[in-house]
Amino acid sequence: MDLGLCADGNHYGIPWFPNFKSVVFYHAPTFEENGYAIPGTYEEMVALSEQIVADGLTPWCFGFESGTASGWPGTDWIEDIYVRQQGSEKYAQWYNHEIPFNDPSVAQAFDTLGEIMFGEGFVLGGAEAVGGTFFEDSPGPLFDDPPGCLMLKQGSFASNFFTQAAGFEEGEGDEIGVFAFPTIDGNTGAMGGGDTLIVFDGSEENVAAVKDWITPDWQCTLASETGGGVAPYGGHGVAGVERLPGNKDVDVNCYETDRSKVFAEAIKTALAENTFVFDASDLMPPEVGQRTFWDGVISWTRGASTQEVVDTVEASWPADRVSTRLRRMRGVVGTPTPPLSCLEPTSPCPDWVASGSHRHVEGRS
Amino acid sequence: MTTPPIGREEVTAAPTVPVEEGAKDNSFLAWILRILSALVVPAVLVLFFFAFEFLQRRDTNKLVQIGTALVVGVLGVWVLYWGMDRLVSALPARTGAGVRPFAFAGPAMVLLGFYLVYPAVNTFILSFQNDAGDAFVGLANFQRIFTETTYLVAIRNSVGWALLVPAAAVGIGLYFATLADRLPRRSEATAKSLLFLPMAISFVGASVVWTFIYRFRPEGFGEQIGILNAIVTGFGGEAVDWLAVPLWNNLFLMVILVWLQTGFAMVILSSAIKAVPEEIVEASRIDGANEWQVFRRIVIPSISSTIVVVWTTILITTWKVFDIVYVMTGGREGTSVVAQQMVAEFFTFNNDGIGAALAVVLFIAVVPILVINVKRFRAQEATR
Repeated sequence: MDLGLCADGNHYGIPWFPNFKSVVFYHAPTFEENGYAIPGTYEEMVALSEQIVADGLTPWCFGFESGTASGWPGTDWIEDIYVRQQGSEKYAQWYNHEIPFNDPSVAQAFDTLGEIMFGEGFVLGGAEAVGGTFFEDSPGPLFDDPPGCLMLKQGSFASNFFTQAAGFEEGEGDEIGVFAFPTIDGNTGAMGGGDTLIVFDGSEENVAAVKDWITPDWQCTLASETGGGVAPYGGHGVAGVERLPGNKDVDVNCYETDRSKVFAEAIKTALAENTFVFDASDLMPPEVGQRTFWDGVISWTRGASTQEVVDTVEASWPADRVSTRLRRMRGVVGTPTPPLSCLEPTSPCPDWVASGSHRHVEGRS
Repeated sequence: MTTPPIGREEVTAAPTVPVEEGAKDNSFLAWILRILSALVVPAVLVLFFFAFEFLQRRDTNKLVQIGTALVVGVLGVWVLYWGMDRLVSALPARTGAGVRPFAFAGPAMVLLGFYLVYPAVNTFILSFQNDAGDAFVGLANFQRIFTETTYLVAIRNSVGWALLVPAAAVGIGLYFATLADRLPRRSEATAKSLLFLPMAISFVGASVVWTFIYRFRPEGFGEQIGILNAIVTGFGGEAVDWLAVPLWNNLFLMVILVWLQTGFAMVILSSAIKAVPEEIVEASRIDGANEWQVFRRIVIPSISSTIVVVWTTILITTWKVFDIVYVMTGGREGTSVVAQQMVAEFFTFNNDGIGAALAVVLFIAVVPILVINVKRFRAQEATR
């Protein structure tokens, strides 16, 4: 399924700002010094964490606090584990509530994360503090001397917070490497979120501007580190902030840093193999995906049992709400009319990144 | 005194053009005026039309747009009322007297009805409907509100806010007002200004300020930038995630509203204290009353009606509090309140039914306070 494609086969939006979340940032110099190998499997990653603890260091940084959206970085962990353990088909059943949230498969994903979250000495500050650590602060200890932690799983956008770290020094950003979130049972996966572009004012002028703007050429310009402030469309408005354009035809070399090149390459591979999945919490009803799932992950880090958490989330799943919501969406949108269907189905939409989203997703969760 | 009021003479002396019945001026100028007057109404309509179109344009100079809006809006309304006045004056005096109030207050009533009464009625209807507002579900929404934990927590917290915040704000305000009353004039003004300052800050602004007070960083994630934790760790304590401490976090949020409202309570109560007749206080002192007795038996009873007014005003503000919770925690960690839950239901969860039902609960809970206030006000007016 194409991102931005509705169940009725029409395009309602163009995903233009994807985030790639199946990556782990790591402190490359320490890895080299101590001869740590990049973990290829989840078991290896847990074993590496034990090794790091044995060497007197702290392996992980976590930060789940995000103001009113606290918890989403935790749901990303669960989703990445889930898609690897259960595959993308069951992943879709999960967010569509075709299986209950307290299905053993979900509890299994929580317990797998628990191997790291509750590992002795694995987490800087301890699991208790994770829910209160601001996610933008979470990369900070990577830049302390010596580094407070060596690994952080966060979305591709996390590199934008590096310079905020108290210990950050010029050029240190390059010391942070990335590796793909390791495989589980031999399965890989690529998970991400993103924002969708919708033309509300269907004037030809605006549609043309959007069409122009999403071309590989423009997206290549915007992919560069200085592209953020480029006229005439203003990019995403923040110069110096890296972002991954949604067009898969953008050349990897458009990206300025090695990290972005890795992200872009990973997304393109995932698209080619059709393994890219959309952030499940963003696809669940907001009562769950933006409330109880987020809250549940945090209370879980503070000691609530896995069963308790998945049962609470399951209980909060609104009955019959999906159908009502769709009914209303149809009421508002109706059959696609020029102002709301972004572009005709023949226009660039089918070339866009593939995944399972049909909703307008806000924010970067 | 026999001196006529100033100005009266001028009015009567103003030259009036005598209009003779039947005698018509058929000069060229008069015809022009006649044609022009016929065109006034269409011209105004056309002007309005173009003005609205002009105001909607995005590429024009904003200052020019503001100017146009002011001229068309203010002048337009003035012309409309002036015209209405002339029309009513043209009616027979008795009819005119009956019509005039409607001509002046009517438009406001109609607009109020449209913007206040209609949405209120619609909210009531929505509260009995499903999440999409297209089918009636009876009392199901209210049943959920009074049985499910999410909503019960919000109601519990709201009640807590309503009990504690007005009490604290009025208490501290009264305390400061009493003490400030003893200060020399100038320092009294300074002290009161300081306490009153937070009133000038919006709820959202204050909340942002307070996020920097409560900010928490766990061990290893850098220095404490939250002032409260900086103080705690500075004295060797351990940093606390203030907004995640169950139940207490509600109190920490309430402090913000108390901080905002105390100044208001203090200013009003201070003026009430100053209005307590000096003779009564003197008399009680002569009778041997000590400071506490003067305060308890003379000052408090004298200003009790002011206290009630301030209390209920803050109570209503507290009951509606949304911004602080929304900015600080978004209702997480068990800090949700009814108004904030209502907004979340409406705009985040797309659940109009529950959202409207919560609005109704808020409304019904505030009615008794309003009734008490109005009754008290009437009683006070009657004794005057």
